[in-house]
Amino acid sequence: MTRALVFLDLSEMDLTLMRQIAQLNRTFEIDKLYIAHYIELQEFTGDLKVHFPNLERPIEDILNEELTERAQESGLDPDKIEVVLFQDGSKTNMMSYINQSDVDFCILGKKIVHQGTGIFSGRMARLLHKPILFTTETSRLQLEHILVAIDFSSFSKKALNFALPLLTNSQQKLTAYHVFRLPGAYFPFVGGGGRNLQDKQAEDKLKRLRKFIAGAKKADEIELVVEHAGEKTLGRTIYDYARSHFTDLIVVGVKGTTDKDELLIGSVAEQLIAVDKDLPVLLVK
Amino acid sequence: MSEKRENKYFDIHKPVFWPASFLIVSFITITLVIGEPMETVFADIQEFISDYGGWFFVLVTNLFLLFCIYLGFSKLGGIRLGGRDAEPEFSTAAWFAMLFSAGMGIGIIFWGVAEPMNHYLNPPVEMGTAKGNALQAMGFSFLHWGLHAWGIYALVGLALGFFAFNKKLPLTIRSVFYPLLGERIHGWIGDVIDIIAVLATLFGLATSLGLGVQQVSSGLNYLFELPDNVTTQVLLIAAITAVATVSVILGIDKGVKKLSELNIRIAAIFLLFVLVVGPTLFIFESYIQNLGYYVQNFFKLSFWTESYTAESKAGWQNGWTVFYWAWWISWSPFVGMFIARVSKGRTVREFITGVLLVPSLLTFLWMTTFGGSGIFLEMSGMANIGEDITSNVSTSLFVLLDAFPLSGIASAIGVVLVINFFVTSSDSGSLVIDSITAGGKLDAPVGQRIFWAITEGAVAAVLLVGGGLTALQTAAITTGLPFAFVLVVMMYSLYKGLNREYALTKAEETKADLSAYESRLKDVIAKRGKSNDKPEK
Repeated sequence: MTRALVFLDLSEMDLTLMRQIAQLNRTFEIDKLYIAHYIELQEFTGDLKVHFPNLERPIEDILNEELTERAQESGLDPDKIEVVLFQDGSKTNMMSYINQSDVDFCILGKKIVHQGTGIFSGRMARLLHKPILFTTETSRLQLEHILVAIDFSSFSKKALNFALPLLTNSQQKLTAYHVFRLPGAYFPFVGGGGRNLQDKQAEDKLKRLRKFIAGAKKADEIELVVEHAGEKTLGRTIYDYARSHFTDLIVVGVKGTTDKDELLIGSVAEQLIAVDKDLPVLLVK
Repeated sequence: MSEKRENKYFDIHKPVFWPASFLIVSFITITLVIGEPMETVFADIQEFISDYGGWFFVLVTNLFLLFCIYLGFSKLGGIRLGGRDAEPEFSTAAWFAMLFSAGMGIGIIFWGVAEPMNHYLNPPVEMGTAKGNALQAMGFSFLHWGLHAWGIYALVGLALGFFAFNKKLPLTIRSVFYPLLGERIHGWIGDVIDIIAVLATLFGLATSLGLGVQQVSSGLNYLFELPDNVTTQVLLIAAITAVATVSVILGIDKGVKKLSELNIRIAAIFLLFVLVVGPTLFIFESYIQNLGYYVQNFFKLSFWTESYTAESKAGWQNGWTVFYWAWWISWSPFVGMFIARVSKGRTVREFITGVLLVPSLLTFLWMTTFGGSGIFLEMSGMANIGEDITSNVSTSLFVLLDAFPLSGIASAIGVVLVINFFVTSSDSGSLVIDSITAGGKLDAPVGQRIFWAITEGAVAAVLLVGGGLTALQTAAITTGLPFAFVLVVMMYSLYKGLNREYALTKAEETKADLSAYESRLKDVIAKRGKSNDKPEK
């Protein structure tokens, strides 16, 4: 029983998201799809009729109708779809409502939601304690090649466990990917160790990665990759690798440390969901 | 020697290149023609500026630092160099390492032993006890090399970085004045600003080169008993400038980059060596205590102006604090441009914290290790090195090393280190000056850089001929003063630019999201608002 929640904002991205969900549904069955929408009426003070002369019935009904229609694009059975509207009050309330629901993961269209600002997705990433799938207009969610970024923590174990069930047929490929930075490279002028040290580290990391994967299902089908970050940020290195290897999805585990209500997400996750990155990213918490 | 290359191909911004070159060449000619009497001229100029302008330097350096700290902690601190989505080009650790290396140079090797020792032997304020004088000596050395120096660089670096990366203006000083002058930065005012920047950088650099060559000469005298006089120094400048020219010809990747990396390694080993053979425990302990003293007396030290000091005893500050402030200001385009180029993708807050703290802490360690060891030897009576140091400051490093094992090798390494720093400073300095005189281009032809490398050497040589250390200090002070005014205006301009950027991004973020949503909502309601259940279209 998989329950997904997708954020729609009445933009054109909504339809793209629905088509992507349809794609997703082909490899990975979705049993329930919640369509979440946040009604922002701050600017329309006073009587709504003044602002919308056409408004002759509750705005909720209108939106419900519109969103249901949009949701049909996903090809899902209409009784699997449910529209949830959130209104006024803070976004934090919406997030905590979702956090307490039985939703398994959330889907968020990146570009449209924040119009290039990156503020909203960052906030989402912090406030939602559910796994979030960030997609963009150009993403395809066929999941032929999934990459799980692994740093040997319990969070990356979670990410791996989340990613494994996404493999439903033998065509799909999963890569366990570890990126590291040489301690020597912390001070480029005294590095000295050079190639050899780097190679040796890579070997050790690969062994460790193999061990880490060992317990998992289909462990021997998982491709193992270890890379050295060099001068790039870790996030950029992961992204570049994923791009050049035709990956459809990057899965990252995120530390669940909470500061009051906000989840502190690591810099790598932050880099991966930044606006300039074009691949779907799944943050697992 | 490489005169032929000069004419090969020039890609210059004429209104800056020619006036700047003309002023520099006339300076060289006048000093050479007048010769010896120039020494008193230099001394008079220095005295005049520091007597009447000293308070101004003290005031503005404090202002620059406070301004930087304000920026770092205000709402403007969140602005990112290179735009909201820019990613740091270098990892934090690599960035720190580069900031470290920006803090290393001839100056710190020259003054590392000499400065604390001098303050200890001639205390600016008599503290009554040796211990008090020693702490005060370290306190003043920290003041001169610490947060204030880096506040100046941070201001220039941040301004250059912001206008180059966020506003896409050329990486040159005039760009910083865009919020005030608008398109006029491309006119004569911009040219004047760049000319001042070129002169300041060149003379600031020449001061450093002059000090370096004095030290190399003293070192060679100590090692091989070569005569330590102006002739040797001028010959050394010629020889080292030739090496620098080769490094220029080889290009950044093969030349200056390799050398700087080598340099930082040698410097690190050198520091470790003295840490080990010197009074190790004392160095660590006093590092902590000196830091505490610096923090505790921060405001007292930084706002002190000798105003209540008796006439006969006054003048200390002119030779030290005022000289340093002017020197740092004068070559702030040099350091500023370097830190700007490696800091793309950092937020203002990260930039300020990193640039103020990282190099300062390293410099403090260096000062404590070298100067502190000197004071330790003097205080404990283990070696009597004070006299030698006060009689000729450029020997101080070698005098100190002499008191420790392996002094021959250590001194040789010291000499190599200074020569190397000379080469890299000259090479990267000519890169900066070249870039300013070429209108902000970074890939100007090599011929021009060779011209500037040679000019720097020539100015340093001429200054040494015309009056030694005094002339060097005068050069820094005289060019520092006009540039200090430029920096004051720069502060305002940067503030304006950052504020506008902040307002813009803020407005963009909320407005764009909200108004786009509203219009979509309106559409939907227009489509389905009517109570007849069917949509209109």
